[in-house]
Amino acid sequence: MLFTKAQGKAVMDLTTAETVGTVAACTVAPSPARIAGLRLKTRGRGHHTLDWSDVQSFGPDAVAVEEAGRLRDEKDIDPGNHAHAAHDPIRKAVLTETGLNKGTVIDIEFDEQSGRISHLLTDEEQIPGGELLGVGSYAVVVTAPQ
Amino acid sequence: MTVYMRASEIAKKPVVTLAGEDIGQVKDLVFDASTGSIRCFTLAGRGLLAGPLHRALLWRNVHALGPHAVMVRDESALEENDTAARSDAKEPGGGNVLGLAVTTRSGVRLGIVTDAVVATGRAPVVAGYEVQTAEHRRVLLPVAGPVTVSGERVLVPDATAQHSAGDLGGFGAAAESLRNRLHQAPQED
Repeated sequence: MLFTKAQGKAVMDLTTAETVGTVAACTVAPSPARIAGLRLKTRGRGHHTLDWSDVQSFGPDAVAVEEAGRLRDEKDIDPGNHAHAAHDPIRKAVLTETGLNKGTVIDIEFDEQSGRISHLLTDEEQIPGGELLGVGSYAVVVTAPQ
Repeated sequence: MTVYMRASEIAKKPVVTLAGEDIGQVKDLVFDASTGSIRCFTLAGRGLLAGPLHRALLWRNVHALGPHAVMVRDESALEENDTAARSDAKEPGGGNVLGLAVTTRSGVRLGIVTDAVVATGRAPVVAGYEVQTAEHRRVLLPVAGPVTVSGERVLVPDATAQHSAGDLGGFGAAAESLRNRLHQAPQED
């Protein structure tokens, strides 16, 4: 599934059946390349983040979470944590480990069950998830061809 | 294929970790006059109001040098301070290769070093120098074979004069042909 298709999906609380927010963005961790967290648009100010491990199911129409208490305020997350907003890859520059710019990430293709990322999409190419080395506040770093 | 760039183009490039964080920006290059290579970079912080970052980045701690960024493994690649950048100010020659005369072993002065040419990639090295000749032309001279650097001059093999390049596009071919020439006739110098 492409992440742009997941954006705007409702996140529902399984204990109250209420909508707690909608999917706005994601954060990514390397080795293996996977979605580490979902950033939600919630009512009121600020962003909230949901760890991927707390996602009960990622359905075609909605994302289920056990209880709304699993949502964390973005301000309480350490920048080193892979769920921190700094690890959002969308619209970041792609740099190879040899310092070559390969464009900008426009989308990611992931598996809804496992959260594994199969490809990072730029304007020109699809970069396999296995080549991802890191996602930081400045750039997405991938391995360079030998 | 090796990609070459002028050392002066490295200035202003971001220093990025493999985790994707930018931890600084290259401010200046410090040459090592005893070897003719680059000793370290001095850094500036990132951002509009950032001042100098008083931590040097040693050449050997660079993970890779690319056309768009200087890559390092992580933040521990930076030194705790910038003494590495200052230490050789007392040495003769001011610790700088720029401004030195390039002379062949038979005593022909080719010109003055105005910049260095660096081979980018995982093992970046100084591959040559940009030299301003007596006629104020700028040529790129590859370095190969026995090159000796002192605080006064850079001594290169005689064959170097026949293998200069006008621009970076032709530099790779010039470096290659000089290496072949020196390989075929090592006793010439």
